Amino acid sequence: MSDAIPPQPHPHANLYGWFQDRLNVAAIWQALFIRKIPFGVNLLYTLGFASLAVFVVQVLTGTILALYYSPSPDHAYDSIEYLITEVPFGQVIRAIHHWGASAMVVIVVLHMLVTFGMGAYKYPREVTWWVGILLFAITFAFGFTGYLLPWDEKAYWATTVGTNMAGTVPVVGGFVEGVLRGGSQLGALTLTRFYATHVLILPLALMALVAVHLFLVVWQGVSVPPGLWDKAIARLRGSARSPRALETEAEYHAVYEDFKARGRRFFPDLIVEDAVVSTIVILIVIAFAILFGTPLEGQADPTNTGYVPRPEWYFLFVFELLKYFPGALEWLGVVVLPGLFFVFLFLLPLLDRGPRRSPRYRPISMVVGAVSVIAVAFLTWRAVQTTPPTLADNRAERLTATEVVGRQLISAQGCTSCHVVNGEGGTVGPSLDGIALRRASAFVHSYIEDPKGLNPNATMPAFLPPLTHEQVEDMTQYLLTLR
Amino acid sequence: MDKPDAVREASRRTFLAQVIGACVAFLGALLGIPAVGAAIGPALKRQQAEWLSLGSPQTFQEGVPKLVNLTVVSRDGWIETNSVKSVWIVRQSADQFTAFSGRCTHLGCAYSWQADQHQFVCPCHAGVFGIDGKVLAGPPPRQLDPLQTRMEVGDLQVQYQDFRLGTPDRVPA
Repeated sequence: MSDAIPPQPHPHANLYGWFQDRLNVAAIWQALFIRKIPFGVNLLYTLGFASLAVFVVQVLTGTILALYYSPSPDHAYDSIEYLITEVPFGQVIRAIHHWGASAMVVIVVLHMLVTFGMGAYKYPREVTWWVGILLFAITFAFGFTGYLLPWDEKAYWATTVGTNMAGTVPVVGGFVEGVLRGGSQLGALTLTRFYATHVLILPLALMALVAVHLFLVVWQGVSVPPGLWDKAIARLRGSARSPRALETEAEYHAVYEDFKARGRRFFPDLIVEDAVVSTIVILIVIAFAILFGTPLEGQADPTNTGYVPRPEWYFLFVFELLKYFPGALEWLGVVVLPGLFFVFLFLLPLLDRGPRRSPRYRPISMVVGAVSVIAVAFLTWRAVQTTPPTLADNRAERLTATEVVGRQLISAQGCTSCHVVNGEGGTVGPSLDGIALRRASAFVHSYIEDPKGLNPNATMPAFLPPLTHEQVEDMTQYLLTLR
Repeated sequence: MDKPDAVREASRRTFLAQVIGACVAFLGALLGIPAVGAAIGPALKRQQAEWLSLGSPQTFQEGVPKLVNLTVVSRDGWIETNSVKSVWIVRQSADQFTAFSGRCTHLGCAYSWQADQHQFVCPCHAGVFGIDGKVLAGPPPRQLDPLQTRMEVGDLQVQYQDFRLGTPDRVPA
């Protein structure tokens, strides 16, 4: 681990010598790890490495999930249930993957904000920035395709809403929606499509783009913090040129080489900071996974009209935005506005070409950036504020297949015209919410089959027939879950 | 003057490299152990044959074999399949029961009890077994396959198992 290529006593003295003799691995090591990082680099520069570290965790946990996952509506939910009940560490691995997704979003967004704030997208790093925007988009695409896979209520309904949003676009909307779903309905074809996207297309795309992103980072070196950079450029120019004049290639390289000469080595001086920050981030993810787990709601039920779908927190701002663009203009809010934001991000290095990188010399960029951050934060906050408390019930509720059938029967038989079920319904009969606290399951079952047998004054009709004994039992099982 | 600085620098770098190594090893263990556990866990799990209820022992007469059809639930990961299996129950005395798999050891046909001949007869290739399961005539390579039975608080139970057919040795299928 010295600066120079280590001297070898004999080309074939050991295994390392054998490879060194053929591949010159020392030169690769030298170029990637012993390279100098410019002076002034701080902890904000560890976020890119941390994103990659969390992605590695996602690949590892995702691979384990794939060992036990069946991408078909018949078995997806059961296979997840098998994973979390039968497989050692299954639940915690699923929870790490769930919280890891949130961590990816947080770290990637922070990485982007830091890059934005530092003006690091400027010459000569425009391409690195563009690749970064694609990686940012892929991170969100991972989230969107990932949460359909468990095929629970949230998966089904949030994806229904998400794909419908694409359908609101004039002219091409229906086509795009069909392509996303693999047909007109959300079903088996949607699930395999989302699965293939989530585990093949997106990871391959992400890895290819990360390779380009990292290559560019090594090739060009990281940027110097903006305050130091602007001062150094001004000092170089003295009174010869205005600080507002565009930076020349010669100026850039003269200053950059100077910072590099005064800098530290990547290994071990700076990579140790990356390692420690990444370790802390991953420990936080694991802590969240252990403390909060991850919910598996009831199995997807296309007839459940009472379900209030909510997307993951990082899509809440889009969800909230929908409310401000009613009816025919909805697509403006959910497709055009985010689309314009992406166009802005892409054009940014071409529009903001001033030589100075400090935020105070880039008022327009900073105002647009700040407004965007505040808008997204505000919309997310509004969405959380207006989330109805029933969502909490839905989160806690995990229905078995029997109970799902029971719920479908309850809604088909029109029980709610007389009884309150899950907070809604008539007042002719007693509320069935919390029935488990008042009645034994055998009583509920017998009562549905033949009310008069238990209460001669009952006005409720008997349900055996038209229903079968098994159907009544399914209904009973569901009713007993009501709180 | 120069030398101690270089030495200090080298030892500082060694320390930093060790910190990096420690981070990698720590995370590797923290994530690697659950990952390996989850990947190989189910492979180490042996599926135990379940004890299935045959009902009260009172329903079986001494010396009169009785055919019972059982619903066996086999689990393949998250997929459960129900299949119906037949067993012959022979009550030897008040508290002694023998259970035979309902498939002939020759090629797996269903055999039946011939009360008048006091023997089990397989209709496919004329295999004949005694009430004790021994081969009396025909092609079966081994006696009927006995199954484990037990008594649990007034409930006679059997552990159903399939065996490979057509071989002289009894090998679980």
